[in-house]
Amino acid sequence: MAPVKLSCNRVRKSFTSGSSETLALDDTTIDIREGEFLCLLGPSGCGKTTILNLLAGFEKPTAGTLRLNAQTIDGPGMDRGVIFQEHALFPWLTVGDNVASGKRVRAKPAAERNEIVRRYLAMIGLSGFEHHYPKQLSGGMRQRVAIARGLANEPEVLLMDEPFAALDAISRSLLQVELVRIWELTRKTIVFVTHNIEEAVLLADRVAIMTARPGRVRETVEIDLARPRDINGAAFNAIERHLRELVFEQHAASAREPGDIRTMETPHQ
Amino acid sequence: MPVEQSLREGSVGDNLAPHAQSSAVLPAALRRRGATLFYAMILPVTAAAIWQAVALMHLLPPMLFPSVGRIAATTLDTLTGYSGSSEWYSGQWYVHALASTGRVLIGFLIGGSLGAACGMFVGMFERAHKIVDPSIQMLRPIPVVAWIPLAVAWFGIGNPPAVFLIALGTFFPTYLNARHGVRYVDPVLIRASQMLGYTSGWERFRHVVFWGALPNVFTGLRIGLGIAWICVATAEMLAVKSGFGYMLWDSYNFLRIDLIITGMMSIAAVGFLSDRAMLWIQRSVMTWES
Repeated sequence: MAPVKLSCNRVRKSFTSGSSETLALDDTTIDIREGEFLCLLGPSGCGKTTILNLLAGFEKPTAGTLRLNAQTIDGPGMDRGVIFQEHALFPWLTVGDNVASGKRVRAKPAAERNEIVRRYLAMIGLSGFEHHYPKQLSGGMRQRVAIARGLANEPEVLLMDEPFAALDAISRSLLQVELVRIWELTRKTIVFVTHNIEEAVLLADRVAIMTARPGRVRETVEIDLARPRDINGAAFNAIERHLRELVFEQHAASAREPGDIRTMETPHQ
Repeated sequence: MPVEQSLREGSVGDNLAPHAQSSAVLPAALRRRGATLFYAMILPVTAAAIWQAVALMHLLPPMLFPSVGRIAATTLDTLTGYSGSSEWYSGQWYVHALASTGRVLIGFLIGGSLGAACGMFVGMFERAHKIVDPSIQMLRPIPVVAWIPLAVAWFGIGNPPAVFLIALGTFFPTYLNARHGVRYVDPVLIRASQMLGYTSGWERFRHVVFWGALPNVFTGLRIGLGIAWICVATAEMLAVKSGFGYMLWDSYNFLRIDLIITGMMSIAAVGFLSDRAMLWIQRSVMTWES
């Protein structure tokens, strides 16, 4: 088995606003292996984006530790590429310059840089667009460029926060297929956040199912289906049905436990 | 310009080929510019017509309410010196235009660069913001006119007090907008730059904050430039002996209302042109916006 790439160990995260404290994530432990495609699946507000932000180093845990290659994560770094919900491209840079905007890429000589831009634009099917500005592209194209930018800087892992949620259904399907292709090509470790059960089954090696308020990883399910996966196949549907049942079950279970609804109000001082 | 407009037009329908139809659209673009000019001229022409009608009614003596023709003739004389009707301003328009424009330019460059630099600095550092911003916000409501006595007392009559006032007037809007632009750069872009490897404060500024704040900085500079023209007219009425502001006030002392109107229209025209120039600079710098 591949070594553990990323790990969350008993991670807890609470947010304070004014006098109220919200527990976003409680006692979450999960290991992600090298080269693995892991989906974090759960309803909105279940803390899956919080896990991603902690892994990215954008936020610090209230308790517990997060590690990359057994090293504690204590801030953002270019070993972890992030693909955001919105494309987050730099609007003042052309597509080509965006792809080449990573620190590692910029440090390279111009010829090599151009080669990298050419290669990654070809990979995402946007050759010939390097002189366009993000504004001139459609939502799906921008998100592809964001993926190319993330990959071009050669991160060890890719953290993707519902990257296709804002796209129309057709663009989303196309990008899902492409992401699998790119992942098979690069074999990066990917953590992919989604609230879409079908998307999780289509993409992941393993799905971590999360419950809300406070967020917890209750169960992980291996998706043992050969790629490319047929979303209309019997096996696919069986797994999707199984996941849906698990999601519903856990939602019902967490709703029954009053102790779990922990939006704690601390008294005014 | 027409080419640029047609490009924009071409990219509306088809994002994939924005350059494809630029040459075919050119005449249409020219026609659109003609239409723009036509619409823009409706109100000024109407105003001139009403002015002329009022002048013909002789509610006031012609000396106090000169006809449109008289104003036009005086203006033309300041420009060409063809009749000498504008006396010592005959053919002197350029001298005063240059005096005013020069002051605006120097004051604007000083006030604008200081405003942009201070605004960005204060926007970047919370501590600096806490120390500097309240004081600037307190000074800001003091009208520039109120600084004139102090400026003249310190710098005497001449260019220095005028430049000082213009720089002051330019500083505040530039400062405010630059500060705002820096503070409200899209946080997701900052996170994106961090994951790309730019984790120090200077890198953040160089790669994200500066560019993200640039549209606001330009907004501030444009507002500042407008205020610079207000300031130059004010300063020239009281603190200098040349420029359009001086021309206005001097003409009032000799009750040459036509020359006053000439001076006012001149400020309007040169101010408008300088704003267009600023807009052109902004567009050439921020190519990604158009």
